[in-house]
Amino acid sequence: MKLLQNSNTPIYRQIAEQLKEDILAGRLKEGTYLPSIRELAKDLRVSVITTMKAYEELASEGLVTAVQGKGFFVNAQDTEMLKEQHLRKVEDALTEAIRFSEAAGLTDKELVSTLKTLQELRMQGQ
Amino acid sequence: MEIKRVVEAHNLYKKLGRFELNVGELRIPQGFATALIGENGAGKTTLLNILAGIRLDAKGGINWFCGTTDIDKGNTRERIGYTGPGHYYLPGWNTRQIRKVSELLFDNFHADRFEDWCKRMSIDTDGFRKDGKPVSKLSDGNRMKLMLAGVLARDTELLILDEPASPLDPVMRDELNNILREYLAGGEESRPRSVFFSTHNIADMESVTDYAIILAHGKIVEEGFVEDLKEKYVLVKGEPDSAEAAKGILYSFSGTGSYGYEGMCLAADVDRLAGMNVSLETPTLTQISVAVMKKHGRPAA
Amino acid sequence: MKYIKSYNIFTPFPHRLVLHLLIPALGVLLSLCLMLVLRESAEAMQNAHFFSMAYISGFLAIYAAVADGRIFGGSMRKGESRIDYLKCSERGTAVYRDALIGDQMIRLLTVFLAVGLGALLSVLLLRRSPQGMILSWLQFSAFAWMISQTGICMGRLLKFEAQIGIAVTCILVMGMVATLLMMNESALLQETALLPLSVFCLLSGLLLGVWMVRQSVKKKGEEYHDC
Repeated sequence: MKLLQNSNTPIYRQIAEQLKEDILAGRLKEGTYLPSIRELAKDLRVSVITTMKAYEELASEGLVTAVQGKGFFVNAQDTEMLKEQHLRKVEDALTEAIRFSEAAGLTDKELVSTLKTLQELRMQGQ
Repeated sequence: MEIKRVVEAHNLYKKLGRFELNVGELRIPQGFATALIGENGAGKTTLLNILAGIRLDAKGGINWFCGTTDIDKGNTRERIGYTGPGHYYLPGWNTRQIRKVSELLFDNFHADRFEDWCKRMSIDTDGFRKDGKPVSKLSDGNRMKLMLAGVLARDTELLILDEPASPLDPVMRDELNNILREYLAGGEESRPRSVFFSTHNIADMESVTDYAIILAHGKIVEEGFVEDLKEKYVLVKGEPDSAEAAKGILYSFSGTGSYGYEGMCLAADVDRLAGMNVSLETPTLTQISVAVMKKHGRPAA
Repeated sequence: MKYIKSYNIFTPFPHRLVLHLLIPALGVLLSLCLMLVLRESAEAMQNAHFFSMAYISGFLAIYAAVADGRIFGGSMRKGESRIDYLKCSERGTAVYRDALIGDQMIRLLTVFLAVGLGALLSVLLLRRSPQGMILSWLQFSAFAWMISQTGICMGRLLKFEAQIGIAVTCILVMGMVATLLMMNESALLQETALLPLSVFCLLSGLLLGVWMVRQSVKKKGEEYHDC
């Protein structure tokens, strides 16, 4: 996990974001327990309150559930919701791409063809 | 999440010459590291001594581990590890004698763990004499490490450390952060571990500080979980033109030179800065502490 | 034994080495040298059987009084020799008390054994009668014990700087006592003064020891309330 000390995003949010990605990508399987807040704090070299706040943020988003005395476990992720989450990311990235293409004075066609070229390149790469 | 208190105190009062310690309510969260911050003479050492039970002459009630109000009952002293400045070990004691006396003093002292800690912190114990140098011949940093080794070699549930970072070098301060996090992580559900330490080196200890208590003139003037404090205060920087207007709103204010000013603003008051040419930042714990300490500084004579 | 265990923790190893081994050895060595030098003169050899006892008891008394300044020095003064580590434990005061008691017992024993060694030397080398030497042995020991007790007591009541004064006083007093004891051929002096005096020294040394332990422990306890 990469944590930036001097970024504008608080560390607990950086931790939450990265764990969220792991959960949404399925790297953290449903039903598994996250490491305890104190273990994670030790491993990440951050304070306990930071990891606790990160977990609470995940819990408030419904990604994990706190169990008294046992810690936090990863909830079953709704595939619909998962797709929705990914879709939102795609939309965000594309919106940004559109903004830049406007700034660069690209036409819609050119933008679409750039996207296609990139997809082809990626296919070839794999 | 419900948070228990490892130490709770009410109406603590102790008068020492002209100094008065007067703490109405003290609550140290269980399972966390709490920093006690304050200027010299704010009463940090006195408060730590009272909570560690090496000073028993204060008025008021203290409750340790949600259960006992008498530190000499219920094995309470066994569960607390204290390190302090000045006269801690006998100056003539060497490492071996400290190990021996610790075995006599505490049931939960593990000699092997003590040796391991001495090695891990590479305490300079003199290669020529296997018993180690006497405490009086050690540097302040090594003396601190030896005190830490003494308490870490025991199965405690609360560490009360008076200025543990001050005598340590930067590398060892970083290591102290790791050690304290390991200590907290080593607690069990039924026996959670907590740390309460005083420090002037707030920035060096920030990565292990969960809760902060700021003391001024023997009173608690601010306290809270660090993440909450960082949301309570906002660091404001502005150009000279808005200085006068901002001064009335800011919690603390400094620098009115031609390059602008800097100040701490309560998050609740940030709206009132609308329209001014200022930038807002999340403050560090050091910045918050300094602002609070200045605010409650000694009135000019 | 808990007293010895605590005593060993509070005293540096070199100190114990000097007290238990070096000083008796030095006393024996010095008296052997002196006997060798004086063996031609019958007059001088008359009192030679006292040399080793005088040396050993003198050195012991002086060394104990001075060295104690570095161990329990100032322990009967308010706020001195603070050891916060002891205060962290419920057993802290007990361990400290055990060390003080251990110190008293060990010093008493050392004085009698080491001076006894001197007496033994006289019996073996100078063929003095054991009965006569026993009396001198007990007397030298009692005086040395009392003098070191007084010196130590002062060192614990006063500051460390007072140790030099204490040492000088000990040397003078021990010198006078030794001279007195060497002239004890007179039965009258023995019966009227020396015998009662040595009994008094032994007893008051013991009482002083008890009092010192109690005072030091009391001061340690008070530190919880006024430090």
